[in-house]
Amino acid sequence: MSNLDDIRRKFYDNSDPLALDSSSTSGAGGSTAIGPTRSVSGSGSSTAAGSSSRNAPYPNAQNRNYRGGASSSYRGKGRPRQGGASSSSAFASSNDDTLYDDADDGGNGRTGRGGGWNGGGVEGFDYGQALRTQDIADVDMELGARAREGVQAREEEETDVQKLLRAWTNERHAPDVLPTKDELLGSILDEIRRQTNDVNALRAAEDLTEEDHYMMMLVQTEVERMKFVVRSYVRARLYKIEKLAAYILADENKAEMHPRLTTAELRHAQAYGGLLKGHFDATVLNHLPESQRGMDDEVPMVPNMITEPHKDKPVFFHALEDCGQIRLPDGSGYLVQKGSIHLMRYRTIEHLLLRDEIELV
Amino acid sequence: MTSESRQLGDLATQLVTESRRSSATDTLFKYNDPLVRMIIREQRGLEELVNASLRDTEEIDPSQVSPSAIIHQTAIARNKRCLLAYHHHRISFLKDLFWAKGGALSHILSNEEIRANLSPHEVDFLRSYNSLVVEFRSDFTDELDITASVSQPPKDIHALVRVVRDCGVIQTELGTIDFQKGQRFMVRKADVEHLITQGYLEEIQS
Repeated sequence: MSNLDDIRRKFYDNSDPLALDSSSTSGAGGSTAIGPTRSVSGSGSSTAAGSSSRNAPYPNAQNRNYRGGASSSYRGKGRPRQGGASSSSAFASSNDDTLYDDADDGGNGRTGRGGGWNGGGVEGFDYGQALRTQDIADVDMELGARAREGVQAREEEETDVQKLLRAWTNERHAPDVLPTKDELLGSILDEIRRQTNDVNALRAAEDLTEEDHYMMMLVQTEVERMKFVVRSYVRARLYKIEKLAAYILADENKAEMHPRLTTAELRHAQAYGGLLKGHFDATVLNHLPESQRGMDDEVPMVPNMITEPHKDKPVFFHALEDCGQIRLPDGSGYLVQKGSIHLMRYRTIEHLLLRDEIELV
Repeated sequence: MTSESRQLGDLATQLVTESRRSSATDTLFKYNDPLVRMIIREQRGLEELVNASLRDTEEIDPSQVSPSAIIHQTAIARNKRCLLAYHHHRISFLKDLFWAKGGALSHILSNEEIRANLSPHEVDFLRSYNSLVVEFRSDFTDELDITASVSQPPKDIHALVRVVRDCGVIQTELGTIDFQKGQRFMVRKADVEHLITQGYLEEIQS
């Protein structure tokens, strides 16, 4: 029964059960106040493990080597309030005490710095003077380095759910297929599985109060909503991949596009491309004379037969870091400060999105 | 119907207009096989014209291309593009329909109205596409079903539904439920979602 009590306490203690509603408000700001944060997906140290399994399909999620395996908080935000540094979850094989100690040190160190960069803008940097006297390139380099620091710090402090929501909105707004985030997806799927198992285990308990029932319903609703987000993310990617199947499979784009897809997605793209081509062959091309059977005609003043991603689409984006000067198509520079929102062609800000310095809204 | 009085590319424009009308009214028309065949025949005719004019100019001056060859070649390219666009449009329509029904292929193919409008190639395409999707889906089915609805996030885990068509005995989390026409049930959304998208159950907004 102690297992079930632990689960119950875990569900009750976490003060905001519906991550979707509260994550945007009490995100990084709230967590620096509480104390050291533990990110379930792990920060720089585990990305090495993450990137090696990057191309593995999702079924390997359970074998994935990431720090969150022993986390007692299913959102990675709160620390266990039962006291004691180690995870007290009955399901955890808590041989990760040393990792938690590291996270403590990292967290404490970060809180100090967190206060510094949380204030808007880069402190002590006079933009006016920079544009007049310093070389633009120098400014860019310094801001670029600070932006990368900011990205790193933000990545370590955010919860999985926030990252998933951001990846989801980005994927829906971008006209191109963005790099896959499959270790993030793997850990989210693991969370979902863990939470459903916990709730199912709790259901078997005999002494459930009415409050317990409501709590379980809330937890299940949250699981359903997270499943919706994952579903929508996967389907958005699949739609774009199918639309750009010919572009992805073309030889000259291989180096750029193939790393952005998971193995399953790549396999699907190849199979779908073949299927579509076969359909065109059977209905049209095989009935035409030999010379007309190509699928890569280049006719002047007519768009290319292979649909390319529409990179001139205007997108709204919100700058999460100071991005410095952006080169606009007519050659002029445009200063983007942290926290500002702009509308630009996707092409001009694509490189910032890939570096995680902006998010599409 | 004399073919002399028709402009080059007229037939192709008709095909494209049909596609436009189809997306405007959101219905799938019958596969216009006769029109497609006429265009293909026109293509062959054009190809012969081009070859003939290239042969003629070759004798005179190999580096020049006669204007009529250019015109015919442009017409060939345009016709081909229109043909492919028409087929691609129909395929996208079918794919959207497929995903809207939650990936239930048999449901689409048994629907007489739709089935009557498809060409056999399109039916083959749908079947192969279905097996592609099933394979992709199998990566996720442990946790979630990616073909379920993505139109709006779920606010509640339970839904009040009314049975519109008999679906027989269905296994749910709360046990086996026998759905008879006209009855109302409070069930978990996840269990009955596929029935709602296929039209057997109707969700009651309360």
